[in-house]
Amino acid sequence: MTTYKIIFREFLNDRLAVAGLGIIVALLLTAVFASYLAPDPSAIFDINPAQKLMAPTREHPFGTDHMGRDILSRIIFGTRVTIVIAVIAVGSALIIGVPIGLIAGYYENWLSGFLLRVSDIFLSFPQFILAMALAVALGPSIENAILALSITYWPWFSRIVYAETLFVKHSIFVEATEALGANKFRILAFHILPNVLSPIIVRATIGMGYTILTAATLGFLGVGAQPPTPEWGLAISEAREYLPGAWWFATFPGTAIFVVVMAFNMFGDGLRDVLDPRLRISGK
Amino acid sequence: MRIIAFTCKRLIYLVPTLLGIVVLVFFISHVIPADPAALVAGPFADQKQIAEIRHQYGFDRPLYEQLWMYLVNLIKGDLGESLYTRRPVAWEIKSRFPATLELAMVSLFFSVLLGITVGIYTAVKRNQWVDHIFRGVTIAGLAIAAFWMGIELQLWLGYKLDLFPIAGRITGTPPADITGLFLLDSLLTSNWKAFFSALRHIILPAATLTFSPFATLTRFQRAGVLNAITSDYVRYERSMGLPAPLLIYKYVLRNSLTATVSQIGLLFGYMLAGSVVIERVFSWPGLGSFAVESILMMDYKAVLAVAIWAGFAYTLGNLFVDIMLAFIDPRETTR
Amino acid sequence: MNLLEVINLSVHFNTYQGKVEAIDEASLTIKKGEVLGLVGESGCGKTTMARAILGVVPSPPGKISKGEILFQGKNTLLMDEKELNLSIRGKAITLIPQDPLGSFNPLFMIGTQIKDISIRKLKGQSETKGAENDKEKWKQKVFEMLNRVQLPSPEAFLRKYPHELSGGQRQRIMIAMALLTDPLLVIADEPTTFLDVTVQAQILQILKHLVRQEQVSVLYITHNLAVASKISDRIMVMYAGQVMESAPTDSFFANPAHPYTKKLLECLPSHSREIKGIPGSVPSLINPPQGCRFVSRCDRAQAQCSQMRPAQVEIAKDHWICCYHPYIKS
Repeated sequence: MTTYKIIFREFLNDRLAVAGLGIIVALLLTAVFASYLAPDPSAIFDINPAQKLMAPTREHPFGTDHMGRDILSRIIFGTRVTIVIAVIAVGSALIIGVPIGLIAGYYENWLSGFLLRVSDIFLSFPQFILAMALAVALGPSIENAILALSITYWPWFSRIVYAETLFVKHSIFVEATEALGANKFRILAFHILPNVLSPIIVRATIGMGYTILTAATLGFLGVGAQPPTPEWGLAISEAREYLPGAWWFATFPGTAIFVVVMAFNMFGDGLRDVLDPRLRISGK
Repeated sequence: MRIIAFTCKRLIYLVPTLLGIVVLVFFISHVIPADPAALVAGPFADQKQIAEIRHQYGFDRPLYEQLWMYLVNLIKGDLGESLYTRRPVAWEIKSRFPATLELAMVSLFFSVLLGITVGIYTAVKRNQWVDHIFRGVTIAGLAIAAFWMGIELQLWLGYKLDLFPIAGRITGTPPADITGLFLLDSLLTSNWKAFFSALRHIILPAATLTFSPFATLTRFQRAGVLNAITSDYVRYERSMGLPAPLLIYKYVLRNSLTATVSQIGLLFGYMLAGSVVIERVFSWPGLGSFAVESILMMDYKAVLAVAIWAGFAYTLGNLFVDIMLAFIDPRETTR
Repeated sequence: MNLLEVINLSVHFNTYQGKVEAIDEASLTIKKGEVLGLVGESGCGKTTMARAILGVVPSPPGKISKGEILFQGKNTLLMDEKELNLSIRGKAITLIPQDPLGSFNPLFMIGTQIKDISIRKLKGQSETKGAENDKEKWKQKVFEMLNRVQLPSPEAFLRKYPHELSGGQRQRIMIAMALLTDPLLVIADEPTTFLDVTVQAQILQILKHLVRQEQVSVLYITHNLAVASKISDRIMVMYAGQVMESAPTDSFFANPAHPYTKKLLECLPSHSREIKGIPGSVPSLINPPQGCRFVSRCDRAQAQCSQMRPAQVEIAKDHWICCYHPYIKS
């Protein structure tokens, strides 16, 4: 049985992880087909004051918000916002952080020392506070929130990659490749990178969940997504004024956040359990 | 002895880190915005007002000069004046700090206590139904948005069931101001009315702030225990007949704590970040809500000061944790 | 009576990939004062054997499906944890592990660990009452033992942490700990594998010397035939969980009878020959071949070898073999 087959089989054994994957797939499908799935596609921008703050009914299963918009539809369209934020933020953090980690770990010179110092300084703040400060400085908007998130997240990736690269660098097969005279870029890209891949994958998956939470928090504070974007955190802050009466307004968007983040966490956990010793060809 | 040497070495490294924090915050606040003066002046100011502010705040000066001025003032303890309250920022921070400290301490205490206990318990009962239940709980704990949990607790336990108050630190007169920590102060002065009121007020926000760190600590502790139990040294100790109670309570326990203790440092960061939203949700008069108000008001000096304070607190907290770790694990001092 | 008798032991492990038959009806005996060298490639079941004797085979995946382990006539497989801990582990049977760094707890001082492992075993032996006296006696014994493994200034060592010592020093402390409680049997599980070659020779010397002095029996596990020959009175060869051959050392090297043994000896580097290996590879222990497991790589294999396991046969004085077609010198 090949390694990949064994990994796959073991993964399927972890029911929570498979459930997580299922929810993520459902999330993606919902985002793509949002216009077809939402009972009331006009809910994004059309204001309907006559129907404001209605409790859940057959027509509006999750009730309506303070502008009379159908909450279920706004949640469904909100999946797009969520995915875009998470993918771009984590993706760009990856693109910045991984090469920096590789370089810092492989070359041990002044450059790597400098890069490490820089990422250490970023890491000396709780990520959220830094992201918040950046978002404010740049001006509250969803694009700036994404930018703030990726700028504050890349050091996490470079730290992991740095540690792993240090370790892999001294393994026999890398030294052999160097002895054969391969150029540095090849070594980094084709020999070291594949071996540090598994912690990166795990971190990225869990990072998606974490980023979604942080983005929602920024939206809640008003420094992220702005009205009328159907972002879930923003919805909860809009809802506060109308509590305790319109309980559905805060509860359903919050549940959506919870389910999605949980799915990413379960999936990421399952990945970690299964990938950890396997993809390390370095033989640890 | 080696711990003292270790601490000194870390304290020396502290200085450039703290400096780096100030530079970073300064960079974010002065360099990134296109026009810091306009930011501070707000969206309704006209050109004249903006120019005035630019001069008043020194934004028209060269960058290095601004940084230098800031550092000098920082050392003097002058953090500027709050745009909004017109009081010195340093004073604001000082008066609001105990509220945040009390909330953070109570949350930290319970998350550590419960996290370690449940972690050990679920490791021992591995793969039984108790373990699965707690695994679900910890997964939920890491997925739930703190601000949302706070709001829901307010909604159901506060509003609907009226079990707990939903805002503020206390109803009625606060206890005598000895430490600023209401729970402690009321105990010290035997002011039972104040004590129970403060207790009732802190339960919901503390529960919210505790949940996520508790989840993390439980997972790490469980992993730590399982790691220790399957390690070579435990196998050797077992093979050589070490009695089980000694093995578990002396050896496995200490080994299992290393990963958990190192997590506590990160939790500091979580407490800092979490207090921002939770204080807002529960109208808790601490530094977190101060930070949010300052941000929304564009209270420039205040935001700057709070950000720096956050960085400092986090770094110092981590240093403290590292020292604790060095006590437990002798290998730390040689790294 | 033999000190240790393992009779037809079978151990398997239930894993994700299937049921791993780690040991298949293996038997061995060790007499009092005898050093048995257990030789075999990685994965042949030697370490599992050691664990089974100590009763520390991890029990969820592992299971002892058949056989008996008689130590001084009593079956250890029937003893409960308490009895095993009290009289066998660390007392009558001790262990020198493969990895001295991994086997020490990194967070505690060496002295603490030595004390916790040995002191209650020694307590029973002292004649005078009083805790102070016990502790003093114990300390003396530890110092004496550390001296005998050539670790001068033992007090300094007791206060050190494992990562502060060298591999050779750690292993010597392991040897000292193994002999501290006057055991009857010492199981040495590849004690020199993780050490440098120069240190290896030294450790082997110390071990050999002490073993003769104390007259303990030793189960010396190794994959290195040369090392085994230096220290063992008898040698036993295992392959893929089965016993192939066992004989007194001289007889073993003079008249190796099993095809596997013969091939092994040919693998030892020598001036006169080219370097040789054994073509093929070890069969998987999940769904292993029936009968003799060396069948796929044996020159002399015939149909009956794959059908049923050869029984143990004595071909010369004390020289046993499990094979239908051994090499017999006339």
